[in-house]
Amino acid sequence: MNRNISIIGFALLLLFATTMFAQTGEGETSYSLWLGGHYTDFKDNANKVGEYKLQSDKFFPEFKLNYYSQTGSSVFRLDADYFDYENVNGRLKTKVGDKFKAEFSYRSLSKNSGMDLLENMETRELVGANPGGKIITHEFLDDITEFSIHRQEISSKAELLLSRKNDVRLITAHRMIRESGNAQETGSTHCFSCHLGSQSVAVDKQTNSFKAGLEGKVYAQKLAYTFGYRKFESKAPDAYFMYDDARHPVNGGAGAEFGSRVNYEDESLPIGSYPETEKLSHKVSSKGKLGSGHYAAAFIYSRVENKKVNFTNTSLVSEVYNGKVNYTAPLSPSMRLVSKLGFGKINKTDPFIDLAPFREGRSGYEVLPSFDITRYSALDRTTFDGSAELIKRMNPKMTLAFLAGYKQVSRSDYPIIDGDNSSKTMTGQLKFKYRQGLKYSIRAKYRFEKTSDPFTSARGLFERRGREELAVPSGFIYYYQREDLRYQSITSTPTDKHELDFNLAYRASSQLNLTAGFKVEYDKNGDLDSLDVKHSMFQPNLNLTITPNSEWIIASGYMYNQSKSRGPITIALFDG
Amino acid sequence: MSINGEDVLAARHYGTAYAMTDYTSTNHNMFASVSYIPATTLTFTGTINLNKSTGELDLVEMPSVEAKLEGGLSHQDFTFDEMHTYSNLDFTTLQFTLGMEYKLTPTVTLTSDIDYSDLDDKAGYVYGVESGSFFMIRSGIRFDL
Repeated sequence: MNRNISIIGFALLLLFATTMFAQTGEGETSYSLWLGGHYTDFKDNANKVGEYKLQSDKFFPEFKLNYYSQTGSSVFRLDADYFDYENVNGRLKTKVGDKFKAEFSYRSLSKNSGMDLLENMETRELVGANPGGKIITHEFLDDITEFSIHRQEISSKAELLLSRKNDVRLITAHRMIRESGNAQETGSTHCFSCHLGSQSVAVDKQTNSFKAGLEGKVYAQKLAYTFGYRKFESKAPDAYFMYDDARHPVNGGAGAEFGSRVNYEDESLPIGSYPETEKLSHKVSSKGKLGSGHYAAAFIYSRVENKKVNFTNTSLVSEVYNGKVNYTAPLSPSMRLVSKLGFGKINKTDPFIDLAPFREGRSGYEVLPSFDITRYSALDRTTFDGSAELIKRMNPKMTLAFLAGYKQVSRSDYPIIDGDNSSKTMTGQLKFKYRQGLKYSIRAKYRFEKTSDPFTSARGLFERRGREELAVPSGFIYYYQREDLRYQSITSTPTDKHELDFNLAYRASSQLNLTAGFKVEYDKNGDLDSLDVKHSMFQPNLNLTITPNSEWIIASGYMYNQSKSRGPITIALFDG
Repeated sequence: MSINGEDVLAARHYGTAYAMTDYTSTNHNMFASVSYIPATTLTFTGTINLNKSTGELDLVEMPSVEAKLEGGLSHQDFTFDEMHTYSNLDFTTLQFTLGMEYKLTPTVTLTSDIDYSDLDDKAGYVYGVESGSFFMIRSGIRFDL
């Protein structure tokens, strides 16, 4: 009750404060204050139907306030919406002529998550006719079954005119996002996936972003520099997971042998840790007139570092360089060319991962390889893209546009270190617009992409027969040996992609408007040997708006979507 | 078995088998909204939204693996009659709202509305059966200037 009284009091206080502000000058003022409340009732499993609602069967006071005031060239605007104590929105904007403007906003929402019941993680291999062989089990380590996150976002922006000469402005912005609550965390232990343990863990993640920049005009060119800083960290205490004592999954024996094959066992270790990242960025941009056209260009450098390093003992850093230039120029009174060029480079640290010696001290240890690795990243890449679009106004009713584009992604460290794996994509696009006054209009688009050497996983999807190859005196077979048997590249990335989009807007009369359209997509990958990987999507829609008289407005619509994916389902023909 | 004259234990590893299979998801979405203003002081609004989504795998027609297994792995079951049902999705959501606004004076308006959503989940998946409903009734007074 105290909270409800406080909320109503706060709403009235906001109204009083804003109306007081309005009385400080002459001009236009308007406001709307809604005071009320709501009662909610949830039945059965409401995690999905009430995903973004506070799941509480009770009364909540509620208010909405919209306030606008203008005095001369100064504007003040406040919009606030309080639904319940976790679902709140507020925005405040002010402007003093062209010298100063600022904006502050607060957004808060709650999100509920379902609980993975892990029901598919419960099975046991048959021995004869009865279960008794290798086993997959799961357990819940606490009684918590409700998971929800409260997300809050506070952002502010300000722009200040420093000098009217060259229109020099200082621009600053800050944004804070905090997510708190609890989430389900599942750990797997013992032979990697034989035993899973699920628990509720605390969530308290915070991201702070800050930007500061200067912009100004030199002749007809606008120049700007922006510095950016972003930090992400988790303030929740570490969650721990107890890793089982390694042993044979069926008879519980051979602990020394199984223990020699894993990096940790029989100890409690942090699980689901978040990185602590810092990002610094510098952006230089310019736009203005060039020749008969307009250009916009930007160059961005950013460096992201994960400060929380506890496994690789190496600082994890990625550096990103991006540049882009757009130029639009009229070729004739009815034709213009839009051209775009882009360049990008990503370099990531290649950390050395020092693993415990495999089967140290066990029979045959000397001949087994070391699994220490340097982790090269598939994200290391150089990209280049360019496109040119010719837009021609055929007559006052019809416009045609044709676009041709090219994109190249070169991965220097995947799948081969210092290799040159490049995916090249050619794009063609045709757009058509036709408008017959207010009666009807048609928009249509066809787009085609052809990619050579699209990204594929370097690890094979299938394993060839290893019965003879894996035969060893000990009879032991190790996972690493199976790596040599793997073959068959696999990806969901297509080599050919087609998109067709059609829309019709038809005004039958002043009382009836109709829009209809469809979207079709089809792609396939022809580079995967006999695997016929393809996707298709068909999405028609129809919408009607009827206004028979000034009293009634009726709108209705229907949309259908069918998506189909064709891919391989693979089963293992091995044991152990 | 013997390789190069040495007795070894042959691995029970016969490779893999696969079948190309389609996964199809469908979504029907229908909506209607109506606004009725019988008098300058009275407005009624209503919306209804029906969404039905399904997802299913075609029957997995795995090739016969008997020849590959040479009689091995006899304790394992290589039939896949039910495999295509493991990731079935089938749920329907009905959302319904009704609203009313009545101007008590030119600057004071009484508002009332209800909001109802029902989810019918016919094929519980990772999170179990997620059938449930939500009902909200709301009322208040708006002051305009």
